[in-house]
Amino acid sequence: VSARLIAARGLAVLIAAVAAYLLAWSLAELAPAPAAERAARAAGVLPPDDAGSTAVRAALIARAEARFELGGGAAARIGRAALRAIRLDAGASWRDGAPVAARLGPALAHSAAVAGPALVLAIAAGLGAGLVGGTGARRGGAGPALAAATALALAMPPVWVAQLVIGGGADGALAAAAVLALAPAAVIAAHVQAAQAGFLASAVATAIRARGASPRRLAWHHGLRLAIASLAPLAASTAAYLVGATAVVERAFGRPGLGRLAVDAAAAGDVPVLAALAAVAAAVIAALTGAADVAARAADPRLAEAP
Amino acid sequence: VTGLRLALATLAAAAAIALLAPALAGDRPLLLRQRGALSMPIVDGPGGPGGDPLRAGLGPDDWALWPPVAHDPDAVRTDGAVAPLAPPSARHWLGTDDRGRDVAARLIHGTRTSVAIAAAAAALATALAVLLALLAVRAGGAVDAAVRTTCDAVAAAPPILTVIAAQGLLGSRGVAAVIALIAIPRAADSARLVRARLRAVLATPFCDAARAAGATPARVLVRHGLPHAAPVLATAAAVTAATAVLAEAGLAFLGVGAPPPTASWGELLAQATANDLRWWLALPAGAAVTALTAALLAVARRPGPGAI
Repeated sequence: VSARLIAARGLAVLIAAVAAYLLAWSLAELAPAPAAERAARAAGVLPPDDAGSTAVRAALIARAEARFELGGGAAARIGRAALRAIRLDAGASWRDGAPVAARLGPALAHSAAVAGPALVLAIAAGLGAGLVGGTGARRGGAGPALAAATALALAMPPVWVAQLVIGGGADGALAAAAVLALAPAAVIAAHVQAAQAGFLASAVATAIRARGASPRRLAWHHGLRLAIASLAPLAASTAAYLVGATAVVERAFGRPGLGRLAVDAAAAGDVPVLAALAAVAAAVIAALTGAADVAARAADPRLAEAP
Repeated sequence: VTGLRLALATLAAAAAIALLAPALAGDRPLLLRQRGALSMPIVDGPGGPGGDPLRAGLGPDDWALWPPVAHDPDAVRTDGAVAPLAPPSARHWLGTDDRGRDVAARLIHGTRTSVAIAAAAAALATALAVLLALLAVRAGGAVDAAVRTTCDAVAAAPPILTVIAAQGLLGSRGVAAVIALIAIPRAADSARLVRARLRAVLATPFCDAARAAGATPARVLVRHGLPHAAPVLATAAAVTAATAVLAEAGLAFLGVGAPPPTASWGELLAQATANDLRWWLALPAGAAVTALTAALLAVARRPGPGAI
């Protein structure tokens, strides 16, 4: 794996984050109400209806416009957002004027404490179950049982799984991570199971066995390397699932995090926070996709020559 | 095959419940004979009392044929004979929620919400996917590359977070926005599959034969290409519907799904979390989401067409 490849994937993360940030600001311009009015409303200083003096309303909106630099047209506002993105400055929350980074940082840490272990758990459990299932499927063993378990895991809503787990007495961050890991682990297991069964039936496996490799080494050394390499196409969908489902699982477990921040920001129409959240989500998905690509190339040298 | 039949039976049952929800759960009789006149209050709509007041007003010669679950899903009871959060009983088969509403009635009407959102999202995603794939394959070159790149990016968007963010950014809520925001990322994903299928079909000898016979590129694409992409589209539509059912439940749980008082399975799950995980709120709703999603995914996994 070359430094150039890692740099390219890093650049892709940056581009994805900036693109998502600007897309969010562009979408906000499609809202029927002007940006300054929405900012004043998000701050709670504007009455919800058109009640009150017109002059007072205009003054409050003008104050929000000046405070959050929302003057000019849509292009000017998006341009200013682009400049902020270049400076890695997410601006201030429309709700209370606090720096968005100060809101995002703690929430990101809380979510990472659940989603990080969930990712590790999903990969470990998925790889293990897939390799066992793929090896067993050749002998008519664990394959069908794993397929049934996978189908059930994919169909159960994360919130319900969380409720069943909480009802069973588990209520910590690790339990939340296990709930979050269930569906990605099932997808990885199904994918690895198919890859492993295909590998064991291939001429390559026959050749490795002919050179004296034990069945265990064939399945768990050579099979594992190819299984890791085969996971790269799943990275984007797995990352997207983790980012989205974290919001639901956090709420089910009553934990703070990006999910609560997103729901609160959406309810208030807090565009700077939502735009920053979009950038973080895009960056996480791009980073995990890039990391999976790098890992796949490291595990399977044949992929190193791919563009 | 048995699994597929079970899945199809589950889907048929869900569709039937969705279509017949007002006849299965409501506080107005299907058929009423009162003071010698025969009427169908469920068809005639609101007008006059329903539920318990109607029962009390029936004379000795009057009779009424009630829905199996004779409760209005939206009727709020915070006092009186029916306590909120009452456990299952002969009167309320699945108990009541925190506003005294009948859970069985809300579960039945929640089927309608989930099925409607899933069907609409699948239809919209399928239509968009076909348009995008046709555009990419027909135009080729830079347009194809642009469509492919855009679809790659949009397909990676997490559905639940996308809906939450877009609702806040656009300042719009409602079922239509939820359907559109679930469908768009799925349309991008489906378009990639359909595009790949169309390109494979167009490279086959029978498409060469059609071109040699004088068929225009557009005709070859639509007349010969699209029918061979139908199985891929059907699989993608089933996955989209399953995604929509799960996303709707998640969004309603977070309080950003269909607006109140719309009955929804996710809203029942949210009530369960807010009320010490009362089992009659959590178990039926969670099982319903799981059954419908499992059925849709089983249909999506059915044996597909052979390689072109």
